Amino acid sequence: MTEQTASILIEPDYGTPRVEGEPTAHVTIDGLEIDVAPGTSVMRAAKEAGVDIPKLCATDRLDAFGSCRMCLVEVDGVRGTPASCTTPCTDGMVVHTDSDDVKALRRNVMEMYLSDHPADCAGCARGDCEIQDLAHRVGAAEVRYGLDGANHLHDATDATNPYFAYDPSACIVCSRCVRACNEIQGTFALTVEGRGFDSRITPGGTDFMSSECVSCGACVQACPTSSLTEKSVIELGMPSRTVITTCAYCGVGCSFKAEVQGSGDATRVVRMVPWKDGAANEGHSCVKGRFAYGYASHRDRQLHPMVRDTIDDPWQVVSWEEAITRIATGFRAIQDTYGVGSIGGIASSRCTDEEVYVVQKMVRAAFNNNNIDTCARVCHSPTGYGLNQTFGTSAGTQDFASVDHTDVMLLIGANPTDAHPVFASRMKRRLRAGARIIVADPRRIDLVRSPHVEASHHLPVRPGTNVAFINAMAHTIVTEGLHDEAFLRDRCEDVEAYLSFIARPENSPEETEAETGVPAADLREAARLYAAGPNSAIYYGLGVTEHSQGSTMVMGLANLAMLTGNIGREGVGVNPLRGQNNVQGSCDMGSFPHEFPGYRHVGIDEVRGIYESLWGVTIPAQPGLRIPNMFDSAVAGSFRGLFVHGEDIVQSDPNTQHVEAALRAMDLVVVHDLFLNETSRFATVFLPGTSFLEKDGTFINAERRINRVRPIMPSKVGKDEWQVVCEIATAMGYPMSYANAAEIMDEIAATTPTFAGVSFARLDAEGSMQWPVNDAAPHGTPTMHVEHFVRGRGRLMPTVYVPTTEATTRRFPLVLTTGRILTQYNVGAQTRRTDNSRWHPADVLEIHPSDAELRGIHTGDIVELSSRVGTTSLPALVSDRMPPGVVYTTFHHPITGANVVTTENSDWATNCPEYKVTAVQVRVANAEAARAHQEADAVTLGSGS
Amino acid sequence: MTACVDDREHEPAVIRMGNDIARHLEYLPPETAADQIAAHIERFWEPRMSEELLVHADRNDTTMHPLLLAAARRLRPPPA
Repeated sequence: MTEQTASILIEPDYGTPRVEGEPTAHVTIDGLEIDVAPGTSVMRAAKEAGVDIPKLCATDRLDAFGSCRMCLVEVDGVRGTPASCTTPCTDGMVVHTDSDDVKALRRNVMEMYLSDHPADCAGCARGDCEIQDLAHRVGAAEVRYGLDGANHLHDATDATNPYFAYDPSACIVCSRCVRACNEIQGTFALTVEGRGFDSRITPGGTDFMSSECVSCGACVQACPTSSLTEKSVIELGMPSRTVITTCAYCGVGCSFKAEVQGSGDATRVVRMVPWKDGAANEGHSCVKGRFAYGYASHRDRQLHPMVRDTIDDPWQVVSWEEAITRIATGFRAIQDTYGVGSIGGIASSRCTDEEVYVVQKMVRAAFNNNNIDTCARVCHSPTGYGLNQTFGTSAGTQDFASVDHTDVMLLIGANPTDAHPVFASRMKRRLRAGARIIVADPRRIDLVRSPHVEASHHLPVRPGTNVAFINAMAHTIVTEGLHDEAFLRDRCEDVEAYLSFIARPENSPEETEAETGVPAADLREAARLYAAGPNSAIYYGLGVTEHSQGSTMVMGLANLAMLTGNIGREGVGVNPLRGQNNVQGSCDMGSFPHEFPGYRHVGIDEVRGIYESLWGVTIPAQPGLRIPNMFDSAVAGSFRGLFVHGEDIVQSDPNTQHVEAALRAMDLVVVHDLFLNETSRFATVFLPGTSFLEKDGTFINAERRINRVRPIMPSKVGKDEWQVVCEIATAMGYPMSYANAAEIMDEIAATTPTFAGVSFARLDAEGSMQWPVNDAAPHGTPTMHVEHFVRGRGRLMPTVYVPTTEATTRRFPLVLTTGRILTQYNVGAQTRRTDNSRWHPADVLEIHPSDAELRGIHTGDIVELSSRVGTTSLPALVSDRMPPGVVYTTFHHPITGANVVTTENSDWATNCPEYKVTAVQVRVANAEAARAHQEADAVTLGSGS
Repeated sequence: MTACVDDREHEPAVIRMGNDIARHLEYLPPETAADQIAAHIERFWEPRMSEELLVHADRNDTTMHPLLLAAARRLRPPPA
């Protein structure tokens, strides 16, 4: 494969999608013979044989449409000139693509296109419009009809979308954009309005910005002319070279072609185009990955190390050497006074595997303790615990492509159309093909009902009651005899105890209905549907993990899959949808305080010995502090220094007051990040970081896929982040150095059995690989637990429902749950610095009409949101997507500070915060609070952050 | 944005966390539950946290779940 080119990488387009099957159809095309699968289009067969038939409306990512009439061919024994894109190959077919008659027809058709195409087409001049090239190719040198007939050359451009423009004068109404929106993205926002000459593409009769368009860019990518063009291309011109890399947003981990101009420090990104060969996304993208990369060059970006004596002093720019010396001296002084365990570090799920690995190594070898934790603590740590207990390893069981074989999806606690949009498009494709979906979520999310998607069941599980719900599902399956006895007998253990537990009456849908809010009859129907499959797959998100019973619930999901034999083949499984780009990787890399890379406990002598021997140090055999433990210890005075890598814990972690008190109590907080953020308000050393466009390394997505991240440009801060970490360790007296990031991966592979076969060279050759990659699976492992579970037999765990202590009261009668929105990402540090904020400039509180009416709240009112730990204010959005009694908000904007109201409650096994359940009250804000909110909002927006 | 306080927030974290574990394992027979709580704490808690828990246990802290108290007695003495 090609990972980096000296020129633009042009991906071949075969015109129509590949057809699976044995190549039993023997076809002759212009004298060339080829065998293809029956049903393959003549156009595709020709391309595979080396014959490029002209086309405009065809592309291999869309079903054939047959409208442009450019691809006409002659077939022996067939009358007329069929379109090669819609004509399937049959055995013995003889095709002529270049006869005089065909050429004349194409010329005539092209003349018609040219008669309504701008003579001064900017796209043709730039080279991103296919019309001019194709006209030359088919020999259409003149337009016999003249250029002054009826045309669309003066139609106005729609430039309302911040990222692309629609120029209807260049549009040939081939419908590729409409079909891309329908078939690839699944939003159905575009249509052809009018008939004949009047037919025009429109985003539903309005402009793009006001439409249902989600700005995924599929239409822009599909457009064969320059009618739909990225504004960056219009502004900067065409790119000159391509680098294949991986998106730094969500856990889907899309592969992109970074198309750039210039080199070295003068490199400029012109556009990010999803890569067709990217196994995670197969050429699709969302508004974040496709367009929202401008933060990397935002004026807020910090490019120099800074220090200050106290958190009240202004920052002073210093040299790297001075900053690193101050860190090393400060951390050692703290340890000298308060002990080895008085400092620690937090690794980032936004950073590469190699960066995370060196951070945990710095903590274990240079700090000489295990006080290393990761932001996965606050999202998917229950996944680690739950899947490890039941299956034996901490990862999803499938690849994304598995969903193409799924018959029934159980989606719980996840909102993929907003948080994992590219995978959501894949789910929707499968649903349009006939699969069914059960949505368990308190909100009526888009996958409950959207164009051409309708859930078979929407089960509005009340926040905090997931375990009661999943037990009722399993109870139904067991008591109605729908479980897979053979699978349980052959593959699982602790079966009888579990069956006995789950069959108890208290787990029945009827008994749990009052608690969960899910009607028993609906739940029973859903359970039967899931059990019937035959291929049923579970997809879940933070609505499962971020509860006081998050780990129990993950085990409940694993139980359900084992109970029905839905593990170990394509189309089934238990699949956590990871939030950040490298949550999986950061966990894999040993960034939990109790585990080395590869999920091996620090107490295992043999494993610890590997690292002690390689690193030349003694490592404690006991776990270190988790993030919340660090905060508690800081407030208590025993934890005094913290290295925070690429996270904004003040904004993202629960109970902001407690986090701030902890940071304020420390002697030295070091923040290593792109921007000054809420956490850096409590730091006295700031180290500038590198964006994904400058990193060299790997990310691992939700399907365990190890993808290369390649530098598009040199580090803007003069150093790689792993290099900075090594220099801190070295300055602390523990020499650490690597020649490059590849060398770090080599060390990971040498010490971690599941990564034994991984290297940058292998990844460059294979494109990507899913761990485990070792002698048994040299090309990786798309599906896990095929013959047996990682732990041997799958373990069924009793999942007793223990209600959260966060109960509603008369004072706090509503339940607040939190989530994300499509255009913003986590704490918004990246997306708030892009035009994505035009869609979502502020967090809002969604509230059911009856709850709103009771409180006199209208959409747009500033409301006060209070819990037992804090109060904040934000605008209200009255919405019947919410059930009565539950309110919802996002946490993308620091002004809202949604985590001011979330509490210290956490998952019993992992301390993952219970973000999804907070008892609150909502009331219209008094005039003073509303004014304060509006003033703060104006300051935030005015700062450009 | 303002903050207020609550009793649970001021409960010692090790007791709050330990009680949460105990509540989730109290479905087990008491001896087994205590064993598993102790094992969980040894596997996932930093030793100073276990030490702090032992201090509370030695005082027979009444806010501790009985199973947590039983588990605390099973915890190995921390290494010298």
